[in-house]
Amino acid sequence: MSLYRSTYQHWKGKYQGIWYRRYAIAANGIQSAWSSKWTRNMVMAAWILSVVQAALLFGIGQLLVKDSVIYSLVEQLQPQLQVFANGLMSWIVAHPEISVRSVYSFLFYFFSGWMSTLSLIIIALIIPSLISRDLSSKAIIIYSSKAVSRFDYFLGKFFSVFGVLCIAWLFPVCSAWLLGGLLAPDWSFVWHSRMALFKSAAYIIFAASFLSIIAMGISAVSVKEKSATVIWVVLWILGNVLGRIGAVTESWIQHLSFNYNLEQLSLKLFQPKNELSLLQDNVPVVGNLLRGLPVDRFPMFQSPQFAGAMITCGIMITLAVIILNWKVRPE
Amino acid sequence: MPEFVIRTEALTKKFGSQSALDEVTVQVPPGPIGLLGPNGAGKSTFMKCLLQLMPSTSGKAFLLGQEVGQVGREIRTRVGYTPEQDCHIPGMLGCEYVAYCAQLTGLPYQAARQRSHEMLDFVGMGQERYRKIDTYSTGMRQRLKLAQAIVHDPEIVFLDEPTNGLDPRGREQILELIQSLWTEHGISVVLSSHLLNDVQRICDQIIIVALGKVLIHDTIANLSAQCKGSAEVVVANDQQKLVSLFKAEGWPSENLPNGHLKVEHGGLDINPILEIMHRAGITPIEVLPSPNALEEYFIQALNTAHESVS
Repeated sequence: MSLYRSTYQHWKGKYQGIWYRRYAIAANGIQSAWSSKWTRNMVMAAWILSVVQAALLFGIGQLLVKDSVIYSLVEQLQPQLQVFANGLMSWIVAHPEISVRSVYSFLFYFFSGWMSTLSLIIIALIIPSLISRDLSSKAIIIYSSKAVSRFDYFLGKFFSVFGVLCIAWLFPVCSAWLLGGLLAPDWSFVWHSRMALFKSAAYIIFAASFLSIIAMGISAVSVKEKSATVIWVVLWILGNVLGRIGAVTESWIQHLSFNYNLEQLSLKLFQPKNELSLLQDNVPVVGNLLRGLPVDRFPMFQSPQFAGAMITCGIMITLAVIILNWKVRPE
Repeated sequence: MPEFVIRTEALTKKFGSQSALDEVTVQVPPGPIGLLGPNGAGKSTFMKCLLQLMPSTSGKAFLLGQEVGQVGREIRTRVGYTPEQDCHIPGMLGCEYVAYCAQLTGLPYQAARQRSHEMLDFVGMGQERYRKIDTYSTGMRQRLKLAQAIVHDPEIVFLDEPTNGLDPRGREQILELIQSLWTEHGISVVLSSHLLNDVQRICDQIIIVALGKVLIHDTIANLSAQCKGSAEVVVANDQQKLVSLFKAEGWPSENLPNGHLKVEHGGLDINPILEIMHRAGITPIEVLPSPNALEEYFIQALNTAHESVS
């Protein structure tokens, strides 16, 4: 008997359950995405944004500290501003439920939106290794011959994209909130900013899930890896172009852009229009200044087309599932 | 281990009007089983239906005593499969790939890593395991496919053309490994091949498939016994005399294009031929027992199938 043959031993352990196997697929997908230098750079950029966000939250908190650097800076620039700043501080202290909530809502609205752009770029980078590669290399046969069903495979792949998006989107936003809370002068900041965090988390979880399913569908369309990236980028750009066309022609055309639909969800959750009204009505001096803002010129202050966006998202998800079911087969 | 590792009842698979499997009914006990047939005979379809990689059109199939389609994915923890074509995951190292396949079958991470190295040792892969699979030669890929198929310690392993693209030495090594799966480790092997020699070499049983039908299902020993013994005789002269002698014995003979004389003597060895030649004083240059007796039987079976269709 040759030496190598003696190495075979029967396995006497216990097989892990189905969630472990799904986890294995997801972990492998995340690992594969992480092996790309460009993906790592994009994730790094998202974390830098979160640090910027935390720094801004820290700056807002410093408005409440009488001897903070911000006040001395304001005093040096213009002594009259100090009077204004003192008045603002008193109001913030008296109404943290409005000031902290609104300021955090705006900040989280903007940062979640910027990070979504980074996430779309990250998906463009990882989409070839998602399903296209398994189809082109016929690795789908190997998956199908193992103790995982097609549903398990899809679930594993879904969590691999979702996992990457969480690392690049959800976790940085949550970290920024946590850091902002830790650096804030008192714990009322944490309490009054909780809704901004929940809204961000809800938005990111929905958007990441939606984008993950769409990415899987697009990845399954082509067996050529590069084609998947091209299709993703083309759909992204085309959607944005159609969104602009729809803004001046038929409004339903705007819903063909997944970016636009996610923006409507974001508007529904963060409600920047309501937050602005709250500030206009309550903040001394600044409120009056805000009243002069030409809100009609800013899409973020329009009423969200929420129902249309959700219906379109549902249609897009259904299409992606049909494509997956049709294209991803071992035979 | 159940009495039959594979049992099918009128298993049928149709692609449109074309039948890839036509009411296949077999009962296969454990051991090394050869699934033999020409390209397009339905061997791979048969395997894929058993492994649920492809839904059957009608009929029933039982794998390791459990009905296929009723038990779901869990049956696959007991089954290994090497597909005919390359189907690795690009960008992965050999050892990572095998460990990942083990995890997909439910082995914990540490055990999967350990067993992947054991299996790569088993199939004779050295430091190449730390290279990306994309850089592997055909032989290495075949070994890797075998490693991923057995890493979770299955009870039965399906091997679809595992010697394709291998050089003679590599083919020999892979066949030796496959043979050891049953003889030394008790793992049943279903070897699909169009090469009779591979099947004859390592299998106890043989299923000959053509046009989606099972033509023959028997042990190699039984089939060999049924084959008419034949030999090829090479003589310098006296070929006509030899033909007469064979005719007198009632053995049909024919001249082959290569100048050899082929005789069907019906015996298990060539001793009766040598005896006749010795008595007649004819000196043979060469007497070759027909190495392809089973192959002829195989071809004959295929021809019968084709004739029945036409």
